[in-house]
Amino acid sequence: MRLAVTILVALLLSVAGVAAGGLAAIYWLQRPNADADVKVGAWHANLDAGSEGAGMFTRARIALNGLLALNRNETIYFAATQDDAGNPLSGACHYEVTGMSPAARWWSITLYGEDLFLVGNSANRFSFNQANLARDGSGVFHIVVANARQEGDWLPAPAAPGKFILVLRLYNPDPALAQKPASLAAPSIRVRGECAPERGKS
Amino acid sequence: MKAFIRGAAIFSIGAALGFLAVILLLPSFVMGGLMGRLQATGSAAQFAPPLPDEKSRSVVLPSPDLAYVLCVYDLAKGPLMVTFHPPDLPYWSIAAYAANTDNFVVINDRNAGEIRDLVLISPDQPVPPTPPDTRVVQAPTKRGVVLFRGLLQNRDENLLKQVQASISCHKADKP
Repeated sequence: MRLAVTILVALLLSVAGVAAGGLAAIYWLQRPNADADVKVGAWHANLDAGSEGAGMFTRARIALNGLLALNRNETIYFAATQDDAGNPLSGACHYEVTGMSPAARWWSITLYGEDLFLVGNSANRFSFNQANLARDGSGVFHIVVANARQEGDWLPAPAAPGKFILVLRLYNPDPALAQKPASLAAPSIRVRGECAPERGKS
Repeated sequence: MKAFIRGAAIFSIGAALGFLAVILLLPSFVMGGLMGRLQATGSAAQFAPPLPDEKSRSVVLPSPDLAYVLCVYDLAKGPLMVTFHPPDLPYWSIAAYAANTDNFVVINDRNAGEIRDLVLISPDQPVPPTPPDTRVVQAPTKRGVVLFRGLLQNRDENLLKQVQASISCHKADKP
């Protein structure tokens, strides 16, 4: 009888352990930037995304967070989950994303919700790319990211307090940039004005 | 005390195994789920979705600027031929993915040259000689996905249809 109880307890403990380990893996894989190998300003990239040389951790993370990614020579994906000050991107704030065109054949900046899908909005606007962004006299673009409609190049964010991420795609990056992605002149992401109180920031 | 240590050890070993199992099995599981969902949408195993918006939830991080065509392949049933004659676009590419998510070949508008057919053959099949407009690639796994991406500058629905009609995935009689 005692042996049966011992075996049962061991079985329950091992099953609980497997379940806890599996959940921990899912939680760990969903943590942003955990295995990013390049960080430039607020942006980070995993250069092994989509690569045959990807390790098991990168492969699992990409399966969950970026399935069907292209390899780095074809496209580099930079993602930002925080602003330049290190605060999570939130629909409670207005942001200005400012920068120069990166060295790539084609590039775009797209906004996704926390679930990594596009965010519905009244303007049916999900991204800006090199062809539809205005530039000032110095060639600098300014994207305003906010939930409420804005003048100029407005990229709609989710309603407060929804978190979001920005993804900068560089299709066919110039060879120098593909070799050294840390040399990217990354767009800055700065809060404009005060954030709404829902953010809970003091 | 001894029983507690033994119990903690059993739990820890189980947790380590659970963690590793998820890491190792997740890519094939996610790809298998995607292939199953796509195949459920039609018999041709070719899927031409509308331009991505907030309702597009089959693959994470869809690009709203791209026209997509997805094809599911199973090389156990024979080689797959992807024929592509896309209109003039700022960028397009055809990428093939193995069952473990690896992107093992990409052809794009810049490096395609004369190539207008991509043939995938199974890992156990030798690469045969090919005409100049065909590229034959040995896939590392028998099952997987081919994904066409075509850049549309202004989400033009008519151009989307034209682009998607220019891509065809079908069983190749011979590679």
